Amino acid sequence: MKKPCLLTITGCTILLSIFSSCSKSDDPKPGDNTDFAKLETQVLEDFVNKVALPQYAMFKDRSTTLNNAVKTLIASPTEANLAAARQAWKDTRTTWEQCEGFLLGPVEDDNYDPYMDTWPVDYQQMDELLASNQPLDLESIESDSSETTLSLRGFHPLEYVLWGKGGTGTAAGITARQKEYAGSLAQDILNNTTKLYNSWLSDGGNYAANILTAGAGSQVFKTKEDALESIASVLIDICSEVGDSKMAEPFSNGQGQPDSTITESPFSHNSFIDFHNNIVGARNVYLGKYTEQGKGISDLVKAKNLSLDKDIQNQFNTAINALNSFIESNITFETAVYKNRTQVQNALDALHNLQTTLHEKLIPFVQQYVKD
Amino acid sequence: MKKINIVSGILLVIFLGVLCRKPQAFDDESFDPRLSGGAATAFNITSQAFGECIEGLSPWDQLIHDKGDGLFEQTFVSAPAPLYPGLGPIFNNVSCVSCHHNDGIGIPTAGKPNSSLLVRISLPGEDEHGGPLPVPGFGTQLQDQAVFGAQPEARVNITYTEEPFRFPDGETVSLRKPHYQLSNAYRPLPGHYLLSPRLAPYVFGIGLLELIPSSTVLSFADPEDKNGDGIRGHPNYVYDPVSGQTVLGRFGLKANTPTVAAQVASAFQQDMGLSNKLFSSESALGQSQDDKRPDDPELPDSILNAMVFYIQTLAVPARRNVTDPVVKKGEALFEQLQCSSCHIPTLYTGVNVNLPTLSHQRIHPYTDLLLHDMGPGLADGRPDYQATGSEWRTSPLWGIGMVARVNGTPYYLHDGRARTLTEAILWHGGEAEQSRENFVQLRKSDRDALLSFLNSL
Repeated sequence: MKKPCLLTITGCTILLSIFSSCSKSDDPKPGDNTDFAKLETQVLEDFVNKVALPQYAMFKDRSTTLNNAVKTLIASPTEANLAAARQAWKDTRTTWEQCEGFLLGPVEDDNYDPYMDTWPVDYQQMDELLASNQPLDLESIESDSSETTLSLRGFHPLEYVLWGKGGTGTAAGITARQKEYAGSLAQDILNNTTKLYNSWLSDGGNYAANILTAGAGSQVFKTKEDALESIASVLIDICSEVGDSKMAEPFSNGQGQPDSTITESPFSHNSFIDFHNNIVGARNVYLGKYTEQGKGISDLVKAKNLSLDKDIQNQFNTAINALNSFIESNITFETAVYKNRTQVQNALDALHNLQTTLHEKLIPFVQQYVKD
Repeated sequence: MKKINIVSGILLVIFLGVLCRKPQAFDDESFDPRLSGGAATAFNITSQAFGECIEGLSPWDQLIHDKGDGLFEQTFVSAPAPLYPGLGPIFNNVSCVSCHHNDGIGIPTAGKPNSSLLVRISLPGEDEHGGPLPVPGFGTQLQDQAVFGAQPEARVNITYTEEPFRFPDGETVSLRKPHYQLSNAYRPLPGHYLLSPRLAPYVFGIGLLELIPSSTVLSFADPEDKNGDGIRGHPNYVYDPVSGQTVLGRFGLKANTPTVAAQVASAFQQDMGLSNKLFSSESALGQSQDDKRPDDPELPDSILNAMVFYIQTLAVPARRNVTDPVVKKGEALFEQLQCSSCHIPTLYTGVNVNLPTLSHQRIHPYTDLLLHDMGPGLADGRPDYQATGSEWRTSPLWGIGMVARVNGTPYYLHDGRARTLTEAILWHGGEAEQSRENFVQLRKSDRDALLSFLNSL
């Protein structure tokens, strides 16, 4: 019985090796270091030109739409215009959450978060501000000077105006002061997204150059390994942010009890969409793909370790699908932490598995194979 | 002779032989030089490098650390509010991370949402504990922001004058000297007050520094300069709000804070306006901005405790490029230039039975935790307990090479005036004057080697 068995194994091995050599001609062969090094450069270029820049450009475009929609709403406060403004808010938020999949560079270094995404909203101060006769024009909102400092900027105050407390707002219910405030908030968001986009451009802050010249004069990334490991690491950061904090804390408050009062987008019920987009943004980086397919870290892994790449892609998909199932069945995060605990736990497990694989397999992979 | 006797005999000889070897520490080569924090070291080279948790925590401890992690980034809002109330009425910023960006340093501006610099104020003289004498109506720290309807204590205006410096080989550097002026004070300031600017430092590693035995710190003190090396160094003794005693100061840029708990609690109260169990009144108590709400202490003990634990259990980033010959050369120069006389490379922690990962560790913080006279260039003229107006605590250097990675544009020294490590070194004076002079006399390649070493930390 031993002989046939051995033959089967040998046969399988031969078959396997034939299949694995069937890779497309444009894929570098394992062990071919010149091609692998070229691929590393391509991955860095595509991260800049096909992932980061297009997403920041989209972010800017969508905040332009949001700004226009809010202007229209102010001029003509109909339910249809309110619905359009809410949709524009959600669209802008989608792109922002996807951009959070790669918190690297100016968005981190120059602290965009507190200007756009501070949470919770200080209702006490916001209500006092709206009730007062303090100016609400753009200049006052953006002013950092002491007397008028109000860190009441960004998406969440605008969410409050567009949806109203508890999500019950109507177009007719928006006061004149709220309109002026919303107009300044939307313009302020657009100003910030424009600044963020410009900080990557070669005729602006040119952060892109730091990545493109990694290992060839870059002040930030002394080697390509350094740049690629940093990019891989931000994927872990966002998994941890969603899995250990944004989702985990409302799910279990320390005594194992859910607490829906500490979710981030309580009025628009946008939380699952936020989480979903965070992980989609991270997958975009891994695959090197936004609207256009480029080379991603995935291609580097494929060149040396097909099964690892398959694992990572599967785990990304599992986590994304787990989050998407809530969105498709219209279950809000605020409800799910009480009523769909098994499903939420599954999503948390999926995120945790992904995070562990990225941490324990992908980072060591980059360290082992990227040698320049 | 039975076999068993022969075997026993041989074992006895081996056993005695082992006893003959004196117990001794491993030599330097036996340790991994990357482990700046011993077991409490983390390998992360991203912008999150300062925010890694130590290993070996129990699931419960890990949960508390993660709570603290979330709270560190949490924005607090004005009371009343269902979530995180108690901000202000006067404050410097709305969350920990607003100043300590990514658990790191920040930007040397004041009064903006992302500002990381605050200004301490006092009158000449001492309070009842020997600390700085508060200015009536202002206390010992200027809160330059306020909630809606309240007025900030004052606005801090920062300007710089550039002073060119030329190395003997012709390389030039511009040193910027900061000037601080107050305006828009909510009530008249007294005629003569003392100011001291403080840039938020990075927060990791202080759980380890808290465990350095006092005897170790005191063993470095040489206030009379008995060894004649020009370097004195003496401890600060400060008031501890927990024990009510005067104890060794370890933290803060003038070593004016005794423990992590006191540091965190005072930051909550002074920087954010959140009264708590250690500082139970509003920072604005007795001032016109006081909200007079009967909600003190505003901060739940559980939040304070989780935050203290979070800070204590942050890991130190590992060193990089430790085998690079240039880095090794720079390391040797660091010693030859006597930088290491104050920035002491290797220390050993004591024991905290609750935190084995921090206990008995061989660590490389590059500090002696003592006060040194740094000369007139860096002096703020504002005494703080035993620290004179020109004395500062030796800043730990671990992680300094990661600052640019974590915070984008790096800023160094107590007020962030230095934009490069070269500028930071050139500002050293007083007891460090000779080391600075030695650095200036180095040839360019050696200066670069020293910087490479610092960047590997």
